[in-house]
Amino acid sequence: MELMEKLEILSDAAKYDASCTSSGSSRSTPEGGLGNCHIAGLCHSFAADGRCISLLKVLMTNYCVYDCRYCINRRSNDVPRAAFAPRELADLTIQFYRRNYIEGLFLSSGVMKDADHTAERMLRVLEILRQEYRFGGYIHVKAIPGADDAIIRRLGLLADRISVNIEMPSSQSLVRLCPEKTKSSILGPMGFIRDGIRENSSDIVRYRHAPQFAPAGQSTQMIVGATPENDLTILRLTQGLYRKYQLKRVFFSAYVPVVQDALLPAGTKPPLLREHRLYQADWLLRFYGFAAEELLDEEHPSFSPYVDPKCNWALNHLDRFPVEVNTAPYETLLRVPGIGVKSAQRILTARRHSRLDWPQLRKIGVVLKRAQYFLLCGGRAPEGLRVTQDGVLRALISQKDRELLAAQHPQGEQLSLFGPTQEQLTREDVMQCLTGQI
Amino acid sequence: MSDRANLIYRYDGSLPGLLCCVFESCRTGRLPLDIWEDGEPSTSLAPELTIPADREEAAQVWRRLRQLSHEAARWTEVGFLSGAEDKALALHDFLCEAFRRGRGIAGFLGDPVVARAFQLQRQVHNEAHLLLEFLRFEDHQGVLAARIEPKAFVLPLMGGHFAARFPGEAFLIYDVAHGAVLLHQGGRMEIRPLEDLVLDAPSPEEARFQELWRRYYDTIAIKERLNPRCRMNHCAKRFWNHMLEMPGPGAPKALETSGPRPEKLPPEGQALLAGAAQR
Repeated sequence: MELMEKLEILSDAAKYDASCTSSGSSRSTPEGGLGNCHIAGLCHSFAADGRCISLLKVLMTNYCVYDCRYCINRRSNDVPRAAFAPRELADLTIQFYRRNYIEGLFLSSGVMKDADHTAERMLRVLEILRQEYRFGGYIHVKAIPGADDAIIRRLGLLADRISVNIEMPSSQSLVRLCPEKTKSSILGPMGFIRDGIRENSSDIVRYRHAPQFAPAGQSTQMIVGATPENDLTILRLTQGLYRKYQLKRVFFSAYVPVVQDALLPAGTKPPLLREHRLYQADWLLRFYGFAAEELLDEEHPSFSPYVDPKCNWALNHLDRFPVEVNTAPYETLLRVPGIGVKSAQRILTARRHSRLDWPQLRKIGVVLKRAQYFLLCGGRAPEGLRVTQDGVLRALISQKDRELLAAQHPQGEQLSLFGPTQEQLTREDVMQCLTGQI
Repeated sequence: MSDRANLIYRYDGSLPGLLCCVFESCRTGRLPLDIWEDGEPSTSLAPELTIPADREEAAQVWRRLRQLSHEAARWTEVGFLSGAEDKALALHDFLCEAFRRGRGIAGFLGDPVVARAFQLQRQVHNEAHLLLEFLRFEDHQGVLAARIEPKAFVLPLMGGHFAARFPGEAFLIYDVAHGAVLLHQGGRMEIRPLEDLVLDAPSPEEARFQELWRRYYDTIAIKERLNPRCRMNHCAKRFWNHMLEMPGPGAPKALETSGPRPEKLPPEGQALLAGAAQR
């Protein structure tokens, strides 16, 4: 088969994997080789769906012995099949890399013959890249559930990041949709990789040149919207994965109905707004010091479609606001809507030198449109701040949210915030908070 | 030193020249209305004062600045690469402010003068960073060639990245907008002025890799999630001309492909291409 055709089949089959980051590794170019890694990663292009293209994201093969209901590569699905030869894929990666198309390789695979056989073929690609080409660029490899620990270990020693997809947000859903996979077959390798990384980090302290095991850590992904789990369940699971398995990232993938199955929702649009909210909350967990329980609880198990999770939290905790920007500790600043990690750090720097006033805050990069309701500068609210329902809501609902909302509800009725909709509770909460207490 | 004199400085357009303007302002204790480059047409009735670039003065200002704040010096260096019209005056004011306030000047982010200098260098850094990502090399008999069209003169900020990444490659990056080329071969790197760069049509092998990349790019998008706005937010259209995978009527095949072998390529560039052809 022509390389062009293979590339098309095997990238088409890989595109539903959300992860395409090249961050977390820092490596200089190996002697006599090519390629290095930047800790923050680089995005080389952006696809028509707006997602970043950082890596050459392909499957080793899309032949698969499994029959997972949601998966486009399921055994019983009638699609063209292909497989890369290891050298062919390694050569392609190098040629793309030296033209600055990509930052490295993302290699996943369907399971051909058995898990060990598949993982060994993937290992061969990594060996050619790292040992023959002395390639120092980024490699993200999927651990194949069920493959021998020794092979996974060797993969981890050559790759920057290694990941196991958790696929479904609960074990019930997993059993229903992936009858041949079990929770333990997924969490097993995840634990193994975590231990590998842990052991390795102590080796590195002891021997400077100890080979690194997955230096960019471990990540996972789950599909959102194919199964009945609510946002709270997903967020708790995410938090658990960060804490227990020390994952670097958890990715969410809005369910796109690619295959027809009685067990799956049909004809739905991908829940992009929900995915967006989950990522916002994920950031709050990782960088803003929030816990899942602060953002959602049993009574409010879903994110508000109107305001982002941080705004929502702030509106529900108005007793903690407004805060004085010249004295509030970093952790408190981080919780103010309109202030991000960078602007919070800049505030700390700037206020060491002079007292901050409102125009200065704007210069620093704080989104005053949002933050003005939650901040005081030298004990004062901004001049001429008028608090009206309409104005506040317009300020707090971002343009992006509005677009996503409109895309999900093309009739537009959800957009008239004051019209009768079933989102009564959330909206009322928002109103009450905004009018009564600010 | 807050009042502005009814005066416009003329300088030679170089960083040392600008430092001499700062020297002048610190000496007289007054800021000019504006700072223009030699040759720029006059658009004001205010009297002009030509500030000659003096090595000694420039070095003195630079030394003092580095003693004061390494960060401020770095901002000045990088901000000076900007294409913004007000850069000379903005950086001049920033330096005067730095000498007035003393150490820790880079911390006064709320001050409009400091904020503008910060913004200038950040814009330059951001553009350089984006081009490290969006630049596309084309293989010409072993030499990698790329074309960029940046607003700021970012070549000095780009070479190190690729030299570290591809120590064994010979490559050149041609900045169409500023008429300059960055050359790298065998650990040597240089930036030279260059009017135009015309390269041969890509070889069949090169064309095949470009086609593979285009096919990959088109396949990887999920059509249920198409989002042109999001794509443009992340990757502005002004970069698309030189990204072979991007759509559009004007999308060229990465580089102009017609015309004879370049004669205007500087000797180093010629040697680069010739040397690679022999390999």
